[in-house]
Amino acid sequence: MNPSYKEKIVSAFWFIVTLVLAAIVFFPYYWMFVSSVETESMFSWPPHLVPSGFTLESYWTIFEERAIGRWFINTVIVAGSTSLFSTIIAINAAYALSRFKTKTTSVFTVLILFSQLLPAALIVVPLFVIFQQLGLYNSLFGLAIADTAFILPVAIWLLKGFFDQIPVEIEQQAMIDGCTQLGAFYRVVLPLALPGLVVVVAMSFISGWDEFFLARTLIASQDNWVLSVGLTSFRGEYTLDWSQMMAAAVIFTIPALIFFLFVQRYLVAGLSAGAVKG
Amino acid sequence: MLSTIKRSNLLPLWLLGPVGVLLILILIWPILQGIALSFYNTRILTYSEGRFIGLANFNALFQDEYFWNSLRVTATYGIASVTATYALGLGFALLLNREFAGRGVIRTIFILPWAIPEVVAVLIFVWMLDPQFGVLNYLFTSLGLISEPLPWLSQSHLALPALVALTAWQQFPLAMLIILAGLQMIPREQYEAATIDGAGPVSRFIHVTLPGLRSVNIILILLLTLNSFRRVTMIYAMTRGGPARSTETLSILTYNTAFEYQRIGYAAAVGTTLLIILLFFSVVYFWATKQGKDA
Repeated sequence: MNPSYKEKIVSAFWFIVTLVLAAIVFFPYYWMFVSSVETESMFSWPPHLVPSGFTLESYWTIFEERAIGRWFINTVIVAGSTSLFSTIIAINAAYALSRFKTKTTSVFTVLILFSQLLPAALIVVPLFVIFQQLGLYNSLFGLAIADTAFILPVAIWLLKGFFDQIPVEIEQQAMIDGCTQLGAFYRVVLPLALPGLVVVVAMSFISGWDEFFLARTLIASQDNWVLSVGLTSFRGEYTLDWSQMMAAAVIFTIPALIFFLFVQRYLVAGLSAGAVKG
Repeated sequence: MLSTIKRSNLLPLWLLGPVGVLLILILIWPILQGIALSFYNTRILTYSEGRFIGLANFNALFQDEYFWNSLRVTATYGIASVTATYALGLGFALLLNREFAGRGVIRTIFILPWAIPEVVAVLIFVWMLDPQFGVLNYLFTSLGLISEPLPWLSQSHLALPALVALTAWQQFPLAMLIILAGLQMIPREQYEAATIDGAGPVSRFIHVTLPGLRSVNIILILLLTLNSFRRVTMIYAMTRGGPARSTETLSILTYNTAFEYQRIGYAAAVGTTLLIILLFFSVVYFWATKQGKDA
């Protein structure tokens, strides 16, 4: 009786510690939301830890007074295209890396691993010129292409992990039944790797959605800005209204968060498997 | 092993072709151009119009106090942010490795910082750290941690700690998940055997948990270090390297030198130095990964 009683106290203690820490970790999220719906002026002291009222006024104002609707659409275009391009390209590449062991695949393995560790700060200096020469500068399409290249190595690696788990006998059987190898892949393997596909679609969407550094460098005109660039531009203003800023932040965060929660389980599994198994 | 296949050897090339084109166009070719630019004196972004000056940029670099400052900032930021991120990751992983009700929900809450767009994380922290109306100044003064509200982001000795705090908050979930996966690979019997031998919780942690995490730790810490050297969005959006260059890592120095001061060749030299440092750590990283696999 005694040791189990002691054990219960210990678990209760750690449980409370965990809850308190979870609250601290969650606080910035909480504060973003509270600041966006607070009725009293942001410029009051002390701040209300629990909002003194609830209003969506900041949300209406930010849409009315700023180009945020346009930036939202731009961001959807960039993130959607990034997701589409990366998924299509990664599917084929990951399949090749998973099923073939040739000179070509080993060269590409090195290329993909190597390109993952290059510093973006050095890349963007010449890329700025290359994009101007190719007519991709200041274009949402160009930005999506760049975002795709940056996320591809991760997307391919993740998807390859999913393909590796599908036994090769399944497609060999389909080929005996008359499929070509690609036919067997698209009709038999791909449907089995659906969770992996969903992860790659969502992950590349999120990375295109969140991206700031390339957008800051490769997009010039305000009309073509995406949310990440538009939002940070408010900061320099003298009469910055933080409650509107936080409203914009909430709007920007929600789509990324939904996609994230949707694939969280697979993403976590894929990531940890990759990291632990190397 | 997977049976390697029939038919033409050209199929993999077709499947991988688009990846090759994109990675070379967007990543590899710019890097090569960047290295080439570092040997030129140019303010224009095409090195054909600049003047070849050999290693002069690098000579100037090693006598430039801003470069040495940046190197110090990179090292300080790297060590501090990796330590903080790892410590939080390990602590939370150990907490989550226990059985308790609602573990899934709590785990999701702990992962949430990682799901937020980096610029949003920056904006929230800038608002929370506001010198006049920031909630953290209020909480810290109420708790007696500081005697008066501090201007976190406009003082050079406070900006870097603030940046480290933001980094650790946003990045610890990655560390936590990787450590958690590592913890779950340690066989239960090892803990049971240690308990039978009379080991307490601390002793079990030192003699079972830490050795069990060895290979995961090495890889994780190197990965976090590489990320800290390459990080641009968070630092640029939060401080642009300021105030007084106190958060100007090599990545940010490269970007500022190119796009603020238009000294392209010189910026390329800074970036190339960063690249060399990264390559060194990457070689160690791949070597460690390989060791981890073979073990």
